[in-house]
Amino acid sequence: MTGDAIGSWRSPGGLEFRVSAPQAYRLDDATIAATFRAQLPERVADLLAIAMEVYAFDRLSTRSSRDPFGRGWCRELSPVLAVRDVDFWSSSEVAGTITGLLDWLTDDYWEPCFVPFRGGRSLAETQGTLFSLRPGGTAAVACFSGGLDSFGGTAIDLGEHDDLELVLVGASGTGRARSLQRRLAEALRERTANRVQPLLITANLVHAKGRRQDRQHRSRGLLFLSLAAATALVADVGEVRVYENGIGAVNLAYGRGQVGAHMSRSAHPKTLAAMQHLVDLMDVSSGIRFTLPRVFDTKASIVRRIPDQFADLIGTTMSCDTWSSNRQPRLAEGERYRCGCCSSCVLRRQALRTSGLAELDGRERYRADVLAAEVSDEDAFALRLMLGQVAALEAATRANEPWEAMITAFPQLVDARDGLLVLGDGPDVEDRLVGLYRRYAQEWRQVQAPMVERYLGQVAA
Amino acid sequence: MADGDFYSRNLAPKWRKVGNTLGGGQDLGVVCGLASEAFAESMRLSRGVPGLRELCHAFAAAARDGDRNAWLATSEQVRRDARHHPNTEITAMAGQALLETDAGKRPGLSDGELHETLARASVDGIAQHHLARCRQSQLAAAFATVGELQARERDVISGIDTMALARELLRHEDGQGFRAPARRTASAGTEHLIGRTLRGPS
Repeated sequence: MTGDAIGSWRSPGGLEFRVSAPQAYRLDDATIAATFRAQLPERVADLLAIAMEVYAFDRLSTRSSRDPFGRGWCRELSPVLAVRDVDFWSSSEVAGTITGLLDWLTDDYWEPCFVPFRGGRSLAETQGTLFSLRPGGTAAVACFSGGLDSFGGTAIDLGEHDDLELVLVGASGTGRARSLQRRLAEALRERTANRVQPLLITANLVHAKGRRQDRQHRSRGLLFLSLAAATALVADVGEVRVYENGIGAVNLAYGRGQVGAHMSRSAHPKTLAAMQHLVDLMDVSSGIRFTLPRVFDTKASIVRRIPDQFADLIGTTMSCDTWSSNRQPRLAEGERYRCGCCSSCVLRRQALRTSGLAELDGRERYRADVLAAEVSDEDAFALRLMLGQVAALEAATRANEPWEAMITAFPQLVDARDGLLVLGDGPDVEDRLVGLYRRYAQEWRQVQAPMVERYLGQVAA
Repeated sequence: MADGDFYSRNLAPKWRKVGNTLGGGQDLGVVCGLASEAFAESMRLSRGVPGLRELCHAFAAAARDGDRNAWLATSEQVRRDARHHPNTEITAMAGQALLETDAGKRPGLSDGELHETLARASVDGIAQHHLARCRQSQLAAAFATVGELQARERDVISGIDTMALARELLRHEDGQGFRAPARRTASAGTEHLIGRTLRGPS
């Protein structure tokens, strides 16, 4: 499907801008229908259109970081969203759920306006055949980015459950990301006798070159989860798995200097809980459960649990925030450097080093080596923030009442606990979260690097 | 998922001086006095804590009746109405943490005392927010470990008269006319710096 990004947005300074970008995006939703030889139900097609239009609109409306009090962060966004079932999406409960989810994901003030869809029905809505190709047996849909967590979680579950079939949904805006996802998914499929079905979907803005764009694109989580949900609904599969380690999923602020959605909430338990509620309201199937199977694991513990039969693929995964963009220099053999500076690169290196894969870490190509003796302040910015967080986590998890100490230091942890309770993660969530952060802090102590030792110092008695 | 985590690097007026004096090993009383003044300036310039009154009422009701759902609903609406103003976000988070940690201690307190409790937590959180941002830009080299630095930051927050600032905040929710309490410590002279090694920002 292609579509427009139309509407208006207001900057915190009160300036109003109109967005009128016809054919602003392309979403290859036909892949979902074609893969399962089924039609997209009307409301599912609407969900995908909403998610993509919101994403395009979000990216074409810029934030400002100039105000020292952070008031340039929140925008007032009023996109015009074309849907087939206007009455349903405009109802107070559904519209309220969408607005609440978007406010939470992006920290903006959303006021979408739903209007009747005037275009023709897309191929995905009309093509159907006599034969369905839905997965059989025990099946689930999994979000698959080509990163270490999504690969590791997939590999662990496939290794532990012989009858499990996984549909891996990867969404990407660049050919590089799609190629990586394809390579990994195909390798997993070959090694599991076809228990993996890749479903790689192109989702990108078109004609966006030269336009000012928001670089945070916080609404991306809605797009990825909507694609996974749509796949599950069409394939008649009852579970969407998001394989993200707990540290990354909850994504606590590094310190008090960050507020709200400064940290991405794409895989946050509360996001998944809100998404589940939205899909329930759509009433298209017997229901989907969103799960975070590795939420009580650190990235290092995911790496340690990857079965031997898949371990050689770890080096193929990519974690860097910017590797697939043109911001990183190209290597001679056509690959690109990982930046080495972003928190995703730093956490990957920590995980590899503390899970016995220091040799692999040494072979990977980073533009900047922040674990070396000499590193610039600018390159080590994210590492310093992370170490500040680790010091605070160490102090809190050692307190007599660790949960109270944790939420005093990181109040946003309450949202994570509440989200996990909705997702059905049991009454001992608080203890398990404390355990997760305690292990994470301990792992950092095993990283031998000058800056880590300098910042964390000796373990307090 | 760490995609594009955002960290604001510019400091609000007067906080750079707080960071410099803290990093330079100045007397704690001096740092606290400067932090108080910087806080007041931030309140005036950032228009206080939009929605503080509603948050206070919801907090008092939740602390008395234990109705956390009502608090959550109000807090979400206030944050939205305030266009996710950072001071409002920090205050809402502080209220959430207070309700989790000290829920049992509140039923006997009056409305006014409960409002002060939240306002004080708000002051504490906003001051920490600005102080933590000084850390990245200036303080990295001044302390042996990041834990030592964080302990010093806690000392500064404890040394600020948060109750006086909280009462001022309740009087001037929109920040207009907000004044810091009078300094208890005079500004330090420069004589003590003679013969001493200076530690500058990183």
